This record gives sequence, structure tokens and C-alpha cells, in this order.
Amino acid sequence: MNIVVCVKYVPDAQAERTFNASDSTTDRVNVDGLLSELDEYAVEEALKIVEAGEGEVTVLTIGPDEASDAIKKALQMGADKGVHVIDDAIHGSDALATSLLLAKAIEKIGVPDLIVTGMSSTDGIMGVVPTMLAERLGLPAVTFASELTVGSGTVSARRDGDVASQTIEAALPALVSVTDQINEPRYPSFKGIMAAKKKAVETWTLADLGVSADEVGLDAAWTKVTSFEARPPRAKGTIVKDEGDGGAKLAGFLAERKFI
Amino acid sequence: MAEVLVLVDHVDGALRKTTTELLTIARRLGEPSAVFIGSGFDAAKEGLAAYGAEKVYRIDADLSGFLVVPQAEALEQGRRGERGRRHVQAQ
Repeated sequence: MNIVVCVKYVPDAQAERTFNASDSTTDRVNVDGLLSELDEYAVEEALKIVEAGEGEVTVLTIGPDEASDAIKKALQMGADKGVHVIDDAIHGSDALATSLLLAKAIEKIGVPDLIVTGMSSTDGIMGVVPTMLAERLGLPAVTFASELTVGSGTVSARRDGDVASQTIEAALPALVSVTDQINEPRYPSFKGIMAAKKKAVETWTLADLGVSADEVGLDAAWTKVTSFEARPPRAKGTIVKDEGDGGAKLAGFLAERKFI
Repeated sequence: MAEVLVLVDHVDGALRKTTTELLTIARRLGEPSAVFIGSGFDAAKEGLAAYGAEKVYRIDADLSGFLVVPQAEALEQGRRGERGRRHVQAQ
């Protein structure tokens, strides 16, 4: 079974993150970035499926030069090869344009048996790209899987919600997005890190995908970030010392903030 | 005030928390109208009203076997009035 995993290079949530002042897009170049943590679950799940049978895992990303780090990490974990779509005109693309580029790249790779993605990126946190991508490719979308079983010609997944858990099945080829409940992503081994250096990564431009510059990028986006401001530092908590009136003080605190 | 459509995410009428959260946001933005697709409406009715739905549009279609796209299409058709929609006053 051949699997394509779509991954994203995102700013490290533990480090300083910022937007570009000129166009209000996420700064991906001057910040520490990494493979989106939610995508590690997708890479792990794909590796497990291939290791239990046969086939190849191709990892696909879109992003600036630095995004090759995300591919590298996935290759170190054990993916077989990488595809990096890179083009200045892509800067500022929204979810729709991203799904278009991913679809074109996957068609060029050759539609695999399974496409696996994370449930969302850790920077945009929209979670819509997987469904858009499946729709563009005409594939079933099995989203937010917290358990996955691949049978012969089918894939079955459990989706956990707050009022019910659903078990759903789809015919292959299909797209699956996975949650952070599905597995425990592995750390790259020393052997994996060495092996990754020899793995092939192709870089494709818009021209390679047959996509014109006016279909993607900031100008083609359906939404626009009009302003941004830094989150205010977290205010210091209040410590209520119980001197017999602790309950009343707590109630007063909650009432003041309209919680009760 | 603007009418704000909220697609009801439910399992046989049991409302998912996202639905009540969206109704709360919609109430801040304008007048929330819930859009209910599928079966189990009687079980959902009270909850929708309690969380502020002023109207409910029902689309009678069994889309329970689908996760996303057919619901989005039904919602879009309903918005344009292309699909018969039944207007139910929430209690």
C-alpha cells in the first residue's frame, strides 16, 4: 500500500512567534519552525500501516525553503521519500489554494491508496484542508480518526465526539485525517537520522504542477488578516487565603467575572 | 440584525457541543437560525431554543452516511432557497 502524508512546517509554539508587518501573514522564515506536532501522528500512522504490510510512504509539504525541515523530520522517522512544493507566489495562500496545490501535487505523484493528514495544523488550526483535498481528488474523506484499520480495499476509522463515537468505513483510495489520540509518534533513531540523508526529496514549482500564480497566494485568498496584536501577558493570579470567609471570597470572585 | 445560519451537528438529535457554542457566537453576531438536517429533530428542538436559535430550518434529507460535503451542499442550497425548507418556530 502506498501512502502520501501531507505535512506542514509551522512556527514552534514554544518559541517566539510573529506575523509579517507588511502583509499580516505568519512569519515562517525568521522564526524557529518544525514539523507540525499534529502531523507527527499522521506520519506515525502511515509508517505503522506500511510496516505491517508493504509499500512506500511519501511525505508532501508546501512552504518556503525552511519547510524542508518538516520533510527531513518525517524521513528521519522512516518515510521513504519527500516532495516539497516551493514557489514565492504561494506565499499567503489560504486553505482553498493549499488544497488545490496539494491535489495537483498528489496527482503528479500518482494518487496513492491512502492519503493521511493531521487533524489540523498547529498554526492555522482550521482543520478544513483534508476535506477540501479529498473533495478535489474525488476521494472519500474520513476525518478526525482516533483509530484506524486498513482492510483489503477498505479503511475503517473511529471518530470520537462528545455525544457519540462513530465507526465509519470507506473504500480505498481514501483520505484520512487523524487526531492526537491515534498513536504515540516515534522519535527518529540514530539509524533513521543517518538513513534520511540518502532519501530523495523532489522540489516542484507552480509550473511543475500546472497551477498559475493568480490561483494561489495572498491575492487569491478569500479571507484577509486585517490586523493583529500580541496577546497581552497573562495576569498574575489572585490567592485567596481562607480565614473563615474563603467561600464567600471565591463566590465574590466568580460573581465579579459573571461566572455565577 | 443579520441572520446567522448555524448548521446543527448532532447524532439523532443529540446536539454536539460545537453546535451550542456556535449558537452562542451567532447570538453575539445577530439573529441565530439553526439549520437541522436529518432525523431526531424532536430531541434537538428544546436545546436549540435554549441556546438562542430564533428560527430553525429543517432540511429533510438523510445524509447520516456522509460526514461533510453533502451537508455543506444542502446548507448552500437551503440558503439559496433551492431546496424546500420548512420553517419551524423554535419554542
